[in-house]
Amino acid sequence: MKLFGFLLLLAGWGLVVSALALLAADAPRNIFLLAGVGVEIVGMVIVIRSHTLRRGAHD
Amino acid sequence: MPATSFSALDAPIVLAIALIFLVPCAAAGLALINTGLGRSRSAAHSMMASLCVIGIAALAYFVCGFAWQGFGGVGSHVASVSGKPWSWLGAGPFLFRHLPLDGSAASLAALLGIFSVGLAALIPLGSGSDRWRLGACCASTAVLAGWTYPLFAHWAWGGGWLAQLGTNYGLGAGFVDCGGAGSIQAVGGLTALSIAWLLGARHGKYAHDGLPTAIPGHNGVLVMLGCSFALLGWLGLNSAGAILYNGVDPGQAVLVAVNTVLCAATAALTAAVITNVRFSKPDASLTANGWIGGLAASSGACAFVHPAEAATIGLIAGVLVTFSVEWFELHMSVDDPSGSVSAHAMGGLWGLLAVGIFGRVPAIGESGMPVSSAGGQWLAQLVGIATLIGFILPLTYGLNWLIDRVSPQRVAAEGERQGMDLYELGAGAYPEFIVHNDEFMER
Repeated sequence: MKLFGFLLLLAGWGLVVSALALLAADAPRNIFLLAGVGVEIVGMVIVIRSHTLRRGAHD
Repeated sequence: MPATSFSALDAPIVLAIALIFLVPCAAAGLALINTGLGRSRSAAHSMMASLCVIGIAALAYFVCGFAWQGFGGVGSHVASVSGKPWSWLGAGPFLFRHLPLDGSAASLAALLGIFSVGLAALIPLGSGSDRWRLGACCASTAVLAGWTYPLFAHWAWGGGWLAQLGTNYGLGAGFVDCGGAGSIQAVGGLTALSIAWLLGARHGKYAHDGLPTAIPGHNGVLVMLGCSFALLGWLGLNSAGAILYNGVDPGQAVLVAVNTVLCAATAALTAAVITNVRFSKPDASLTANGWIGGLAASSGACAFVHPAEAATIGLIAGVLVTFSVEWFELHMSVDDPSGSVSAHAMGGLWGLLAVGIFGRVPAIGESGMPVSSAGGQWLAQLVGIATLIGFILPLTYGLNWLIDRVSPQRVAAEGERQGMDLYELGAGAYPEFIVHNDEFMER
């Protein structure tokens, strides 16, 4: 689950970089940039959640 | 050959050198804070690890770090993406070869880099306190100083693709990071988070019901003294960074210094007030975390904001750091004895965002010439923050995970019980002290 979270973090960053590289118009570029940040937030939540669950399992 | 006389040097160069010489004070401050907030039975180990980490960081940066960081986009690996040049890695010679150490801008950047990378490497020591093996923290530092730090520093400071966001895509002046809120604080803070995740909590930190137990730092005086040293170091770091990496006029060092002090002061006072309201007494360690968080936040925009705005940035940093320390400990199960993740990562990331909100950065148009509108600066900052969280965090976690697979980073249970001083160094910092074992009792 943690690996999936980290992959989502990378995917979000990939979206951000792709938006910059591929989209010239301001509006779609900014929307994709924010979407990439959104994917990163989901990834971060999953990484945090997996760490909390793993620690709970060790108790 | 006649020696160069002191008067032959330009005043700005002398000022920059003097400011850079202050930066080791920040490292001394962080070392004292990490030690004071750790246990007494690991105090000597903490200071020893700080020295080793600074040494390893300097060597790794000398061998390959500066070559990969580069300076001013000269000699770098460039990829063409949709017709735009993306500089992604410095391509300078290793071992400082062909680098005249004579007060040139590149040589000053190398000098500042040697100190800055040591500062970044000290940050994870705080989160791994009381359980991180000396050999493991040296290996982790070599990777941080030799690869992770130079990579992001190139993108932000070495004329890399983040710095080019202004010229390539019209996003304000590109990613701006005056004194290292991203390159030093956030990179170090996110590495600290990775280390805290990989090492796990100290034995006895969490009870069976999952609630954290307070393990107070052993010496508040060291912590407060460390805060004072840190201020001195940050004055040099922010001023030198603004002059070298952002082309700020040396006279603006006064504005940078005022903003740095105000930001730290309001952050610390905010933390003191919040803890006083919540716990009826101000908390010294959280106030120290607030101070460091304010300093980390000040590093982003210190040269481009009014002092009142710097105070506002500090106020928000104080709130952010105080609550995030509790949030990380209680809800994220992250045992971070020094509050490194909150102070450096959260403070640094907020400082970067603050550039986009408050900063008045002279923008550069797609033609490469300055333009009046700074629109898009917040987007450039957001791209930088997204890079730190979306790329640098997985990278630093993955590299430290690999080190952990090769050689476990956490000390054996016996070492934690004895204390790192006795277990790894064979002698304690305070030999006349009695070792307390109560944290190891079953709850």
